[in-house]
Amino acid sequence: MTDVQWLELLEKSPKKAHTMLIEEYGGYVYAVVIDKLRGLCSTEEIEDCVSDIFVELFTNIHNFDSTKGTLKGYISIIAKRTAINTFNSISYRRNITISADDEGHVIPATAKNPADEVQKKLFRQRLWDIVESLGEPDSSIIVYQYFYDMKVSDIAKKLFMTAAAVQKRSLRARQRIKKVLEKEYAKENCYE
Amino acid sequence: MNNQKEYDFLRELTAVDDEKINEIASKYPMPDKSALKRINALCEEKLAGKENILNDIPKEMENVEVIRNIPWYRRPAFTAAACFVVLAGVTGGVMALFSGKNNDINPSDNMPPLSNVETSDAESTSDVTTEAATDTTTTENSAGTTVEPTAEINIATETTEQSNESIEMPDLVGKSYESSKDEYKDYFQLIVDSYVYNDEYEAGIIIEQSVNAGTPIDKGSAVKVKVSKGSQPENEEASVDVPDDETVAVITESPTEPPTETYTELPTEPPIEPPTEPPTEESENDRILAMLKNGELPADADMNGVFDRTDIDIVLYYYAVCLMNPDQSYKESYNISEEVFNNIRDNFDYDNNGLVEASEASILLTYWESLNK
Repeated sequence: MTDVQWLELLEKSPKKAHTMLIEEYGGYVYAVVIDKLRGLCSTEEIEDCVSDIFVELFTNIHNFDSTKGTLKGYISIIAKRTAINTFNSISYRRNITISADDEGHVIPATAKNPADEVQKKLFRQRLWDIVESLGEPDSSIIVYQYFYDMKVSDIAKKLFMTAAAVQKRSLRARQRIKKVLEKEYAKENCYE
Repeated sequence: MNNQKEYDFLRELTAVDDEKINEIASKYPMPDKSALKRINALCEEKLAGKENILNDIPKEMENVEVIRNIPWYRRPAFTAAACFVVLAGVTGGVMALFSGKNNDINPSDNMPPLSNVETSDAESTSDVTTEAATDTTTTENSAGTTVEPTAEINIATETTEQSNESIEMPDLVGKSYESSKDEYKDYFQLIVDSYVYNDEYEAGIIIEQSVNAGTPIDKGSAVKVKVSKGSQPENEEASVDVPDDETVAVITESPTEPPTETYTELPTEPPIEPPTEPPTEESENDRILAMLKNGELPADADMNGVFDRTDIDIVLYYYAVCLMNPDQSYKESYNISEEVFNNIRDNFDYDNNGLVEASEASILLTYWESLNK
């Protein structure tokens, strides 16, 4: 469906368009939210934030100009902004503040080392490649466990497996990833 | 015990750019259909709230300017007050006329007694035409008396709105019976059709519903569900949906069928009744043990791929540190890695009471002993 078609549908039958938009972009918005709120919120709070994003989208859809950008980009901006606001409000509510005087608190460097950044980026890319090369259901287990921060029992339910099986597969998958990375690291060192 | 830190590099999977998020969302979709439905419902709720605000404010704002330009005698408040006064006058007049008519009763026209008529009966009808007095306090006096045939009064009573709202049947399969019953009690009534063994779902989870998800149903109607009793214990024969109390009662009390025929259809072994009382601690422990044996609950606390005594020690250690730190947050000073700590916190609360306690360690010990007999 093109952005123009979405706008037409939103005008003709908003309720249907709302449901379809949630079905189409729900996963994407959820991923954006989890990226910002990982480890801070419960599933209910994350779902609440996702619904806030769609409410924001539906009430401000008249501001969207299809000549200036895509609908997905527009959704992405709303999603990030709302997720950050939620993060701030939850942090404030729970009084999560990090004092610079705290023991062990390291003030981040103001200027990033570009070489390190590039190396990290390459490492992440390679890590994702390895995870995806694991095959199913191992890739999904690792992604749900680390990216979506899901519990073993929830992953088991989602993938129709037992919790023990998920745990075992997760361990083996991690061992495999580690082996591959170690091999590659050894090779690189050898060339150097 | 800190060996789990060797997998900390996987935390890099969380540092992703927009493009990658998009890719992950399409490859590993997260919210399932039921979650999307919940989100949709939340949106509708919030949008409804917003519409009310949006609808209310502009109207008032528009009216402010308009009202300022209207002379006082044409303003809505004045009109409403004038209407009220006129209406009160008319009502008073009608009442006076009516009381006058009542005095001029004709003894030849008998009126049926109304003393047994309840007000609620009269109110439930949308439009009642009667030749009698409306006020039930006067019915005793007017019963058996007559009213002039011309004294016909139309009484328009308020209609009591029947709740004919229909709602869409949600998908309850896979959800807890108890929580669903509470959640939807305002919309429909959940009735247990039967409790059956099921390997897929844990005890107390709905496995079948009489009305398919998405079907519109009237508000307040009854929906039958089949509830899982968990997986069948090994010592019991694989049979049979065990009938619940009500089913047994219906079968035994049925007057049309002779009892001998009825009992031949029943299983030879007495049916196991579903637990109506809260499970005892022992039965709960047995259930958890069975789930551990079936692999439905994790036992490997330190996530090293093996279940051994160390796992029990670690769970006990977790319990001990959480006694000092009730908010169950990880601290660097602990002798276990954060991953192991989170694993125990998230997955080892077998009795779902929100805490991993010594009881969980005790069950693990029983399980370990059963494995190492």
